[in-house]
Amino acid sequence: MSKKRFIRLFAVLLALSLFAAACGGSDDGDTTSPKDVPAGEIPVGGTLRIAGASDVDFMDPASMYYTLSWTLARGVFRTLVTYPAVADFEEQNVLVPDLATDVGTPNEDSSEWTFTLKDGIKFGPALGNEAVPGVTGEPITSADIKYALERVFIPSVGGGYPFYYDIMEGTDAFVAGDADEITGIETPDDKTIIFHLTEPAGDWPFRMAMPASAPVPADYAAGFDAEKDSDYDSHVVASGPYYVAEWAPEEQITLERNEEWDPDTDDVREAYVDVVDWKLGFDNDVGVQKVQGGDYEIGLDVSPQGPALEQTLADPELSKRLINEPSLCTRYVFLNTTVEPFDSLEVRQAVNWAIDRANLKTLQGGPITGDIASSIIPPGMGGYLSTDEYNPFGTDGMAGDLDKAKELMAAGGYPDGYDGELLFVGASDPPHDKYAESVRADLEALGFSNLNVKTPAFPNQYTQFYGIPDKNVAIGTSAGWCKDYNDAFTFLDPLFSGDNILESGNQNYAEIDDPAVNEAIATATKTPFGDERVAAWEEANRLATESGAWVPWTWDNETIIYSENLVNPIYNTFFSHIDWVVAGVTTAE
Amino acid sequence: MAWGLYGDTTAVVGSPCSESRCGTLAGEFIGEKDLTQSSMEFQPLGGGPPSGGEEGEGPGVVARTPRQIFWAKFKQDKLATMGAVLVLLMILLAISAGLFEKIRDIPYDHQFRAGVGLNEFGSPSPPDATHWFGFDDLGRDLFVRVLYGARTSLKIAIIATGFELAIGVFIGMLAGYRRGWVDTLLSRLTDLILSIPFLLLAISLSVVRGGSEGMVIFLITFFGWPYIARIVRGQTLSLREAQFIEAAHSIGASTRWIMFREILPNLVAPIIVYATLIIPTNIVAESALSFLGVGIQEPQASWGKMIASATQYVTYGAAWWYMFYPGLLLFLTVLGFNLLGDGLRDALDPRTRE
Repeated sequence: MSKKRFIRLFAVLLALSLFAAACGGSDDGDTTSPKDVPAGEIPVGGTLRIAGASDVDFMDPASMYYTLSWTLARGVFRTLVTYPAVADFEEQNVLVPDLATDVGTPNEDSSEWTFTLKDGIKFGPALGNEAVPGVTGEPITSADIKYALERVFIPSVGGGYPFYYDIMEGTDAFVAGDADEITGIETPDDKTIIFHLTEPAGDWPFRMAMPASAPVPADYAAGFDAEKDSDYDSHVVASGPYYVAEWAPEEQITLERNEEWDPDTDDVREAYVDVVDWKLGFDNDVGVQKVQGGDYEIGLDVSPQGPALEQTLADPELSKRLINEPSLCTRYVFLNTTVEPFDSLEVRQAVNWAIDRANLKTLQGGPITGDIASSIIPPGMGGYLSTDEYNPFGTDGMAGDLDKAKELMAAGGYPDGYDGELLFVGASDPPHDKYAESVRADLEALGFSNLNVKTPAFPNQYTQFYGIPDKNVAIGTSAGWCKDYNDAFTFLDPLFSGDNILESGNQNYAEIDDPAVNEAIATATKTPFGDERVAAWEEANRLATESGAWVPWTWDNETIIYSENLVNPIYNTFFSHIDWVVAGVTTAE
Repeated sequence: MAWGLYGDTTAVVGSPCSESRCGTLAGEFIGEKDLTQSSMEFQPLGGGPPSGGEEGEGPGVVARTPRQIFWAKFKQDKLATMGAVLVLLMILLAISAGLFEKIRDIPYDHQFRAGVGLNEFGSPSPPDATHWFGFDDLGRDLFVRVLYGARTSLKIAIIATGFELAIGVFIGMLAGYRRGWVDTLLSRLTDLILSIPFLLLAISLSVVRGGSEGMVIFLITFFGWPYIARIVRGQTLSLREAQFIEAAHSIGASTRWIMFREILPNLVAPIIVYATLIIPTNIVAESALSFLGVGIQEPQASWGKMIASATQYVTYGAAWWYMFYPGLLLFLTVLGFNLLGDGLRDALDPRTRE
């Protein structure tokens, strides 16, 4: 379901600016953030000012699915385990205990996970500095975690990603209304929580690091959840070092210190600043100027694009305060394997040879926006294969090879191209309109003479076309995917597994159902964490890439600007932003 | 705006010419060297006996057809002539777009990639010796595309104007001539359409159905014809009381005959003028829709779309050519049609003969 996050990543900027992706360049092999300041040198106190364009999608941890909401969640909600606030990207993906005392104990086949809660963890105030009797200041118990996961399946809550949790035993009965609780979540006492799963899940702790598993006080939230549409969204109770003091939708979010949070229980968050003052509704360019001028410390979803990025890079001062790091997203052109002639492997591979990926990269904003993709899994994720070691459709400069492509078209039985009508769907917002034009020109050169081009406004290409198999979209040029957590499962399973072709809300746009690919995904999913699993994902990555169903063309970078007042800006790949809970401001008194 | 000409009868109907220019121009014209001659010639209805022109071919009045009168007046109007030249130039450019494409061997949708048409950040490259107007944001030759933009604009504007006139004139005549419940019904219909917000409907329709040439023509026509219908209705209302209509009635002419053979010829002048004035409006409407992304789609060229794409660069002082050339041609075309329209109106208006 990372499409939603992908949409959020881009849609906002798209509406405002020429270049969609937050973009930036990093040298290959550079896997650390630009700065990592020793703890003693970071000022304590002060106000962290954030300039943003759009609002969070939800405050409710069960529903929030935008990267910027997850950025907020970093300081407001704690989970059983979490990602460490370190600069090294490899280390970032080694989970550390948060509310739990360890990162979870599995049984032999990882189908049962046991966590024990720390002492001294308490709920803070609800949104608006409301001290809730019986909740605020009370200890967080295993029942609160259990309820948080149960409400993911309550229709009035409308959780965004139940599919990560539906492998808990008894989930079906709970969803069907046959049970009052999910029996697979066992809470023998206030400190212990045991998950019984219907299948092995070596990545279960990663799912326990997502905001949806943050504790929710059952008695308090149940009242809201009983309504038709839960209003817990406006009454969220904090468990992290900050609580939401004010939320004026589309205008302002203010976070203040949660006095109930005990720093001794939290090894991850330093919480240097006293207040987070997050202004929303900035025009992208204005927001960029405010941050670069020092009026705000962090540009959240405002970042220099196109000509502004050129100017920022040319300025030695401004370019120092620019983070360009991989956002663990892949963009791709997909070919629907159920539509003639893309049911032919040769034709799909021909298209892979014909597409000028270098031009798409230029249209996106050049090398600074990230590397040209040669396979599906992006850098920074287990299963990633660098372009040097694996590039099945590699050409000089990745500009494509039309001769080779035409040979494959002929081999696939279409020596004169294809003149049947094919539905070709891009998006109208710049630069998506340009991607579509570039791909259209390449396909016409290859002999596709009857393309029915549609470019709806972003993100309608997902909702009205790609996600609906009945539409028979043959070619989609504005598709992208970002990871949810650092395991290739979040990439390959929803996008390439034949089991995941759905009537509506489909994510396997290419509708690929290749036994070899399915098998490789299933094998990798079952493999325990470690080198073996990474190797299994590499194999699945190869098979999926060579199926030709996708033409992956970029591994995006995230571009973030911050002001000179910000100390220790570490980029965290979990929410693709600055890990502000360990940053300080020089304006602190 | 109202003009009334009874064909060859040169009597004036309709509301008086309210434009100051009518009088001015008439004055200028009368102020020409031979006042005597003009006063002699331009008083076919109430003029006294000829005072004797020096160049008169005979003792009688020198007859000039309305066409000659129009032409004489139009030639005097320098702005109108300039407008006509601009319009002709644009039409020529639009027609020759394909020719330029052939001669220079640069297809309008050819993308110059890899460092030619775009720099490393994907911004358009500037004009050079071969590519006179520079490149657009896909690395395509802007000169050829601007010419094709002229073709798109003129084609859509003229076709849409044709539809507007066909519908508007027919509905207007029918309402004005039949009066009664037909008039009420049709007038309320035009009121209804005029009360629909143009841009909102245009944007939502285009979002649902997708923008295209046909959609733009439909939208412009749909919202344009009521204006013409109203004017034509007004003209028809006064015309139907004229004696020659009564005469036609009395000899048993059918409604259709009267509408198309008696009334329509008398509406030609205002229709021509109005058509010339709504063409630039339609050009702007097409550009606006394309600017908003709900009009012309890639790879077809449209000035509005070029200007929209260019704003992103021009804000940062980059790629000035990308906005300048389409903007300049759009400006000149609209200016040309407006000047021509004003000139036609003045020249066709009998008021200016006094």
